[in-house]
Amino acid sequence: MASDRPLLEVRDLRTYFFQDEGTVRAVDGAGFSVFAGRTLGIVGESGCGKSVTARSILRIVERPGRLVSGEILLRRDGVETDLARLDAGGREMRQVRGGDIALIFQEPMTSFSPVHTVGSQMIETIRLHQQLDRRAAREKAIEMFGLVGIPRPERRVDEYAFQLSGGLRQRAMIALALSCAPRILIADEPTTALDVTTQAQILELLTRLQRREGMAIILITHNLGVVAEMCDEVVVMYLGRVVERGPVDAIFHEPRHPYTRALLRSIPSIHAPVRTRLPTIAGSVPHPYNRPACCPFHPRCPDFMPGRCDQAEPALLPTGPGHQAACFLYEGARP
Amino acid sequence: MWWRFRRHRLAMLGTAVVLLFYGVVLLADFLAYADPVASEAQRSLLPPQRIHWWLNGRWEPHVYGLAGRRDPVTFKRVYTPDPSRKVPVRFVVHGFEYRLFGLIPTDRHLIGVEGARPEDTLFLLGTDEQGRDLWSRLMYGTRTSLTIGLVGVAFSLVLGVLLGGVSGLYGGITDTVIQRVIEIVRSIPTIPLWMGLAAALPNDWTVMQVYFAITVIISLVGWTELARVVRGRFLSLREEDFVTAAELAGSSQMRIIVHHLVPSFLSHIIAATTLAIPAMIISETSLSFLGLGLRPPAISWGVLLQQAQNIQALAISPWLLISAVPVIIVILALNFMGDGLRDAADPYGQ
Amino acid sequence: MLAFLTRRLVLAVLTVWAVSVLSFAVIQLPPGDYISSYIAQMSASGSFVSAQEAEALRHQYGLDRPLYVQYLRWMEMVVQGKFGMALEWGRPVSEVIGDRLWLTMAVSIAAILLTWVLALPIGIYSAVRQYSFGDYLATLVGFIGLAVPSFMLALVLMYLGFRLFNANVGGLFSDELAQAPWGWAKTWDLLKHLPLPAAILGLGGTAQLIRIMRANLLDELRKPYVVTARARGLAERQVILKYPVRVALNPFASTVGYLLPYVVSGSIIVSLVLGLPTVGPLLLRALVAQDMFLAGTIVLLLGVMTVVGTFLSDLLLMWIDPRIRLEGRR
Repeated sequence: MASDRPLLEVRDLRTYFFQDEGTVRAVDGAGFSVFAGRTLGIVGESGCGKSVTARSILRIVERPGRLVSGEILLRRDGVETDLARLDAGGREMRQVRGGDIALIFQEPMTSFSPVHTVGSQMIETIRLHQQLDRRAAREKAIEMFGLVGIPRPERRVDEYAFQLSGGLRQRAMIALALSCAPRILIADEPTTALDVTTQAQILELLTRLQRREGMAIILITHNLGVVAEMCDEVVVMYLGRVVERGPVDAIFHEPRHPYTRALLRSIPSIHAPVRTRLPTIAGSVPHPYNRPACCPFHPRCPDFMPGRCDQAEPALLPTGPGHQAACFLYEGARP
Repeated sequence: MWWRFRRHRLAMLGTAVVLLFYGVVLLADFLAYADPVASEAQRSLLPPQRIHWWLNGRWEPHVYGLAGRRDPVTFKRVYTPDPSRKVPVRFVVHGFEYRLFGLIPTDRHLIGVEGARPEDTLFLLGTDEQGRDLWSRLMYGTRTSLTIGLVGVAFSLVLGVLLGGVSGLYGGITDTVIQRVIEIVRSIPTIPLWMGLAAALPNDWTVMQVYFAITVIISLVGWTELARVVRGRFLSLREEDFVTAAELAGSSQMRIIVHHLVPSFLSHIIAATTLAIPAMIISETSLSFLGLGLRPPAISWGVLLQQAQNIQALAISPWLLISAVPVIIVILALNFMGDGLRDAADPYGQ
Repeated sequence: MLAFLTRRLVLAVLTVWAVSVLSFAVIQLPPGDYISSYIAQMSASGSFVSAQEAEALRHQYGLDRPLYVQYLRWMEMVVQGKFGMALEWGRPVSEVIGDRLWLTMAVSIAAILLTWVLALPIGIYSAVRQYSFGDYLATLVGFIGLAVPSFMLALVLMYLGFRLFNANVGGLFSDELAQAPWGWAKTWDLLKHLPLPAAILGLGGTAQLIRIMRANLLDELRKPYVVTARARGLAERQVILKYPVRVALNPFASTVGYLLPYVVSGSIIVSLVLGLPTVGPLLLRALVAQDMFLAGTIVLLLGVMTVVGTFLSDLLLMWIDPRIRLEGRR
């Protein structure tokens, strides 16, 4: 079945930023798989490398950042292409961007050029990836606008971003991203800037589109609630590394990695007794130039094992069906 | 803010240079060695003299004396350097009298020559057409040009803060009117106007009066930029919560302005003012260069450059252009300094 | 859009009025009035003007009426194109000014065009290749343009031209064509001579615009829509030129409005140094000779042309920025 083989497979991705003051290892060995029709959630605190991972996949990491090593295998028509090997500015990569993989952002207002109509930007993208003439592209744009639920799409197409309301802008951004029917949609914090109602609408829209098109979604967020609602698989990142990955149920009900456990514990619960202290994770995220060369979480880990955790970096070890955690606690454990 | 400023290396360099120049302003008399207005036609258009620092292996700074001879064509007495005469150069010597800092009478100068003959004089930068030593004139010119810059900017500042402050604080109609006035002023080409105003100054005014009038004229345009900055700061500060808090606590308007608002925009004002000085200097230099600004016997960079207007004369005596160098250096230095101040005051831009 | 236009138009009209008042002030400022200068001139050339004649002349020119009346009468004449007599030349002002005004505008506009042509690409390059050698070079040139007043630059260049090539690099026309009537040959000659004065004049403005463009573009390049454009698969050149440059162009274009007065001002002095047959040298002579009608008219005309130019650039700005066009239509 098509959904058996992953559409996109990331292996040991490393993206470093080479600055004068030091090297920031934004992504330091991340790996995960994305399947058609399913949603992968990437969670973690700010600065853990989620966004940089997304940009690395699309090869739009800006200087002084660079994809240092790793593989990004995209499967198209049965052929596997390693995006990491492609020339970032080359033709093939450009076709992948927008055509096979699309990206939407947190803030729709600034995602659109303020001096071009939203329609023109869509038409441009459409014509870039598909051989359609002006008129056909415009028709398609209007169709997409209708698909995402924008009323009177034929009028909205000629408007500017500042003329649309917040919710409509968000939908327009989704339409823009989906205009060329990408098979993978990367959504970088798509709901963080929205109020709860709009949030629900957008998530519902994304689900609907996913079902309709059978596309895969990579949902990047720090909002665990959204993850629980939308995702099929979850990847937990900390300091540029994947510390746990697995099916969403397993992650939420049986978190293995101490970091994941701490994260889940810190969600305020409506069931907790009144005046319960909100558990926090001790310590703070270390300075980007000072990443320890061992388990990244060990300074803050309640299950820290001296002599082991500060000596070597744990690989992702199996802890259940399809479930892995990078922690020495599971050395020698049976899947 | 001071710490951020220090990080800006160019700005620190600029400040150092600016301070150096203003040091010249204070010490102009000391640094000059010849009476700046003493003209001697026989010594006209002498090229700069090189100081030779060593003599037979010993440190004995000297210049070559001048030998006079009659030019066979013009029958005028012409001076040329005479290597056989070595005139010792001394430091901290006696020279013409003046008052240090305007107070202490003295006659010491930084540099000078010891020599009996009138041809044994020092011309570090040569002389102009009237035989006046350029180095000394440059020292005095620096003093005038830089102080005009300061005074002019002071006037602009007063105007700018006043109008900009009123505009920003009261808003509404007052703001709109003042804004429009500022726009109108900015749309008018300034130099023709200045020329007109400057030319209108009666010929019989004294140097001081002319100086004052020129200062007023050039400050009339610089104020627009300062007013804009002030207004911008007032507008944004007005909305700040701490102002509302002060109002709620019952402070009077005056107290709000002085105690709360002024410290916030002071740094911006300083930056904007520093950046406005170069414009003043250029204005005065331009006007005097045209002959419409300061006039002889006043000395400023522009007046010094006036002699360089004639290309033929310039071709023979290129050292007349030397006065252009301090202008460029000071403007650059002030700009660096102002940029640094501005970045330090508001690292996020306006 | 209409609101914007009307506002700029009203402002332009007000500015023209302000310029006229100021020009009138320039005419009136010097001590004594037009007639006394005229009398002085006449006596210098030997004729004698009696007291009654002087009185009659004063009455004729309305010099015995209050100032605002004089102003109105002068405006009346100006609007009809009668600018009065140029004392020193003994000819009508309009004749004396003649071509020079147009030449002044030609040099100024050439300077502005050159400024745009240079500043835009250099500014873009500087921002995109920040901290590269080219960027530092451009910044350096920018500082030179900032610090060296245009007339000084002109002086230095004239000197160098004289010294190295023994040529006079000033002037707008070659000697043969200077007096010739207008035609293709003369126009072409003008175009050949324009680049140098335009470059000198424009350097200061270019420096400023490069800095502005660079700063604005650097701001825009950080914004998400640039990343989005890249993420959509656009080629890098398109990404830069089509989007952030367009946005950064707005403040750039709005600066043009104030560039014109600056350049026109600068052209006065530079044309003196370079010996260009523009309004500059004429103005200086007029002022020195206290030929007030000539001087005042020049100031007036310069001001008016500048306002017109500024207004045109406002139209340009409006065309470029859709946010202004659509303002008010929601």
